Parts: sequence; structure tokens; C-alpha cells
Amino acid sequence: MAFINQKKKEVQVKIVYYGPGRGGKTTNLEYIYNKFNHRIKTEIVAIKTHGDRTLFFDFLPFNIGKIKGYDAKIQLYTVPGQVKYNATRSLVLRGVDGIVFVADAMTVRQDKNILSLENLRENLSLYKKSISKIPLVFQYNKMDLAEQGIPLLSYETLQQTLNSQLKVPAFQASALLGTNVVQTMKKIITMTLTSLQKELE
Amino acid sequence: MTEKNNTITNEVETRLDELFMEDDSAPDNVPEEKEQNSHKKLRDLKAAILSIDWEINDDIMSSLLHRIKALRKDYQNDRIIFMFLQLLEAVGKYIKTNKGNAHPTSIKLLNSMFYNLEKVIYDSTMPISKRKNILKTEIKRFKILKEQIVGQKGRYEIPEEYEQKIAPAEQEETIVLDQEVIEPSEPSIPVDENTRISAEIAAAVEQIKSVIQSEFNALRADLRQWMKENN
Ligand SMILES: Nc1nc2c(ncn2[C@@H]2O[C@H](COP(=O)(O)OP(=O)(O)OP(=O)(O)O)[C@@H](O)[C@H]2O)c(=O)[nH]1
Ligand SMILES: [Mg+2]
Repeated sequence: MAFINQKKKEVQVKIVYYGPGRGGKTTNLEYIYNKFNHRIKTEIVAIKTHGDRTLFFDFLPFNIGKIKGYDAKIQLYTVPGQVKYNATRSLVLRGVDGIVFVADAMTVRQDKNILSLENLRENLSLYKKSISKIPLVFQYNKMDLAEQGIPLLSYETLQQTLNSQLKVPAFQASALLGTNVVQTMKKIITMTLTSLQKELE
Repeated sequence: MTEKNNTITNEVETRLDELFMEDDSAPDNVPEEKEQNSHKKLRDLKAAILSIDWEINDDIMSSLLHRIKALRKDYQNDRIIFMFLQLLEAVGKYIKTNKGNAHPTSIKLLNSMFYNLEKVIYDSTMPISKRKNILKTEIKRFKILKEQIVGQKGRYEIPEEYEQKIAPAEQEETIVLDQEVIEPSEPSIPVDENTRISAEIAAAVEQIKSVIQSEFNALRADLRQWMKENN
């Protein structure tokens, strides 16, 4: 549940980037940070193992100004995608308001996407949340690899395997090049704040 | 969708559009042709590195080595990046020679070296000392890998010309680095799988402990905040 402070007229929204290891979650946050840190005045906090794997989480907070008279604070998190870090993953989900599921479009990662989505469903249920109710956006990442001749899953296949029941918005993206990174983020923030509209009236 | 719902949606959308406009005149987006060109080459190299995640064959490895060479030309005047590329090349050659039998650490090392190379290349404001430290760490890992390989097979299969190549490139203030690289490796201590695994478990336990600790700290802080506000 979002943290809403009626006295201070403040709303704090937690958005978590979820998905299989090496799918590009951290790269999403890095792109946003590198591109906009001069405008949103923030710092990124990243806790990594040696190499580039996320160990605990990445954290990128920023304010977007007043919405419905409330100061709106957005917090973007990523979880560590590696299977072995499930304890951390479920901790990071505590109090989540909206989720971006970053799927890896490489054909060889198909099973990992499916397992990770299943894992998200389970971890949400620990907090009595349902994947079909929480604001959720899919991002099919690494589309740029097509031009390198690397086999990718088609948009249709990804939709069918991941999104056929949920039917939430989905973006084809390249976190590396920044394609649709911002669109994905805007969509999830809008959906999440919209889901809180009753509380913000 | 109700009307109210619509207004909040519109309000948020408009705000986000203002904040996150992707005009390319943004100050962090200074395109410089040569710069961009080598970034493109770096991306090509990355794709090659990604693809050895699931298959190692002569074609893939040749193209990987080819892409390293292409970058080396661009960076011949930048000693740190140049050395990075030499390290990558050495590990790449080793993997090409040994393919499926390559020591698993070598593939990890290739990835971490590449990751750090990217960091050094993309962050043009990184101080020299930091770049050097990153390079040193990779050289250390490289040495450890060499030792592991010796332990594994009793002979060492990192292409030897690597050592000769490194030596002339590094002369003045980074002599320490030189020595680290060209020093013949000591008789290796065979890596004991069990020792390593239990060290990993210990590390994991430490990780979990500190996660829990920081979670508790966060909870306590939340609680204090909450009590303050409700008093
Ligand atoms: N070609 C390409 N590579 C990408 C893209 N997004 C991420 N990568 C690369 O994929 C690797 C993993 O990306 P990360 O952002 O660290 O992945 P992650 O999901 O945070 O991984 P974990 O922290 O282990 O869960 C890195 O080398 C990225 O540069 C993309 O859109 N295209
Ligand atoms: Mg990560």
C-alpha cells in the first residue's frame, strides 16, 4: 500500500522492476538516471556483486511535484534476478505499488521469463497481493539484438506466453539504447497513481 | 473509467511528459562522431559476448576476437582501455582454444572484464586512479584464473604472446601492473572445490544477515517516523 501522509500531503509510490537475471532491470534505471538526473535531482543507489549482478537491489527515488495537491514521491527499485536471491526479491516486494516486468526477448531466455513471472506471482501472494490486480506493465527488452542476428522471441510469442491472461500494457524496448525505457516508466507511474485516486481525493 | 479517474491520469501524464522529455539537446547527450562509432563497436562486442552465454564455437569466438581488435585500433592511445582489451583478448583466445572445456571462471571473467571496460569507456569523467584500480582488479582476477587453470590441468593455456604484448605497452607509472601481469605464476595451489563452496555459503549467509539487518533498520525508522507523526 502506498504511503500517503494526509498531514504533510505527501504520497510515496514504490515501483519494482522484476524479471529474470540479466534481463536489463538495472540498465533501465541506469538509463533513466543518466538521462535525467540533472532534471530530477536524485542519486541512484546500487548494491552489486563484483561484476554487474544486482545483489540486493537498485534504488532510484525522485519527486514529480504535486499531483492532486499531494507531493508525489516515486521510488524505483530493481530486484536481483538470479534465482538464488529469492529472499531478497521478496523483501524488496514489501509494500510494492506497481511492477514493471522486464522480460528478456532472447529466445534462449524464454523459460527464465516464465519461471520469473511465476516467482513474482508466488512472492506477491506472500503479501496477499494478486498479480492480476496490481498495476503491471511488461517490457520486452533487448530488441536491439535483432540486428546482431541473435534469435529473439517475437512480440506475439512474448504476449502469448506471458501476457495472454493478464492483458496489461506491454512495450518492446532496448534498455541499452533507451528505446521505450521512459515510456515504460511513465506508463507504470500513471497506472499506479491512478490506482490510488480514491485515496487521493 | 470515471471522470475523476481521468483527471488524475491526465494530470500525471502531463507532469511526466514535462519531466521526462527526451529531447536530444539534453546536456548529457553530446554526440561526437568518433566517440559514437567506437560505442557502436563496443555494442557489437557486447553482442558477441552475450552470445557465448549459450554457445561457444569457432565462428562466434573469431568474431569476438575480431571485434576486440577493431576496438583496440580505436583505443591505441588510451593505455588503460588498451590493456583492458588485451586482457579480454587473452581470455577470449583461451576460450577459443578450449571451448566447452574452458574453465568456467574464464567465461565469468570475460563478462566482468567487459562490464568494467564498458564502465571505463562510458564514464569519461572517471578519474585515472579509479580507472587504474578497476583495471588492477581485473588483472588480479586474471592471475587467479591462470592459477586455477594451472591447478586444473597442470599447464597453462593462456596464449603466451599476451605477456610479450603487455610488456612494452606499460612502462612508466604502472610498473606495478606490469609485474602483476608478467610475473610467472607461482606453483599453483589446487583450488579445493569444497573450500570454495563453503566460502560461498558463508558469504551468502553474511549477505542475508545484512539484508535482514537493514530491513530492520528501515522498519525501525518507519516506526519512529510513524510515532512522531501520530503524537
Ligand atoms: N543488447 C542489449 N543488452 C542489454 C539490454 N539491456 C540490458 N542489457 C545487457 O544485459 C546485461 C544485464 O543487464 P542488467 O541491467 O544488469 O540486468 P538485470 O536484470 O539487472 O540483472 P540482475 O541484476 O542479475 O537481475 C548487461 O550486460 C546489460 O548491458 C538491451 O536492451 N540490449
Ligand atoms: Mg540488476
